[in-house]
Amino acid sequence: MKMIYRHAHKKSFENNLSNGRIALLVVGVFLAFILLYAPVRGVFTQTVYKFAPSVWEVGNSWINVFQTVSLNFQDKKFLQNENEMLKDEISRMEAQVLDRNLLSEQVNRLEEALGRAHGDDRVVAYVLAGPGLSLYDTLIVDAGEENGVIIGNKVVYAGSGVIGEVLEVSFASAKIKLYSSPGEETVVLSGPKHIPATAYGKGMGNFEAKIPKGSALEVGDYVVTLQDRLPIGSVSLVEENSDMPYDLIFFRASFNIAEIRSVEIIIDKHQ
Amino acid sequence: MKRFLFNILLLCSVFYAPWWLAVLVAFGGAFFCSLFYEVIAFGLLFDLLYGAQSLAIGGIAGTVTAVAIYLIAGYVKKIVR
Repeated sequence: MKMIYRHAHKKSFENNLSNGRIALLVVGVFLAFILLYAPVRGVFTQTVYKFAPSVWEVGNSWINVFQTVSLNFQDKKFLQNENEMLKDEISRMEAQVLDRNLLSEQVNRLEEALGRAHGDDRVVAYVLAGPGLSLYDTLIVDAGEENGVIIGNKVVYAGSGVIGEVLEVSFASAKIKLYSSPGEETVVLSGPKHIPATAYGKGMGNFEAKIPKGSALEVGDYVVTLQDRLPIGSVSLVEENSDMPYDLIFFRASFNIAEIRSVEIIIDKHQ
Repeated sequence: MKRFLFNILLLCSVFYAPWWLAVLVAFGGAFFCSLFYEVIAFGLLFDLLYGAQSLAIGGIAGTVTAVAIYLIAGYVKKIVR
């Protein structure tokens, strides 16, 4: 009797194990189908993005409410000092903007004179989810198809520094791939001599590139993209190694990627 | 109730918290709830929200991590209990 029970119990256990493996296999195939077959993944992504922007907006509203409430509890003297500091900062930035506008006008006039006038439209988009939330180094912004955003549009921050390009678009939002995403490759020109190099993304606005020996690059030199000549970062370290046929440069975006609250998407009329 | 709480926590973590916090919550859910399959669905949601197939790392890191968490938590449970 005991033997029969043990035998039946063993058989049931084996059946369960086999059913479990089959279920795991079915789940695995299903997941692979969703993630690796682009049309299916696209449909799932579009479905998720029907509600995701609203979820982020609700979260951001709550964060704003929390910040407003916490302001009431801050020291009055501290707030006065902060206010003064911010006023100084605003006046300094206004002067910089004026200078920039003058330069921009000069560039436009020169381009018109040379017959190379090239207009682009920019859409300001607010960041719904930043790179700190995921390992992917992507930004989710609240501008999409309804604003004329298309895949491949360049994305800039603070008017000039290029940070990435649009990867996926839904009706009211877009996913932006940062050039600094781990493993991403971008062709750049570095330093005053415009030395070409391939920059490899290292995450959170950091890059690494190999340059020929004796390129005489220095810390602080600007790095721009090859295609649009938009600044992508500035050199933070030059590593010379006598055993290698090249030098390594490390550069980073001149702002903190995690603190970006809004970006501009360049909707190129000529695209 | 415990399962429901972990599901809500995990959903909030995927949308609002840094990835490492979501990993911790996912591990907690997989450890304290039996057969916490939902963790894989949340991994998939993570990939659909933030990843993309054309990225250098393939856009499957969330799902792969979720499956790993499910298996590791199961193994740890066996050892501890």
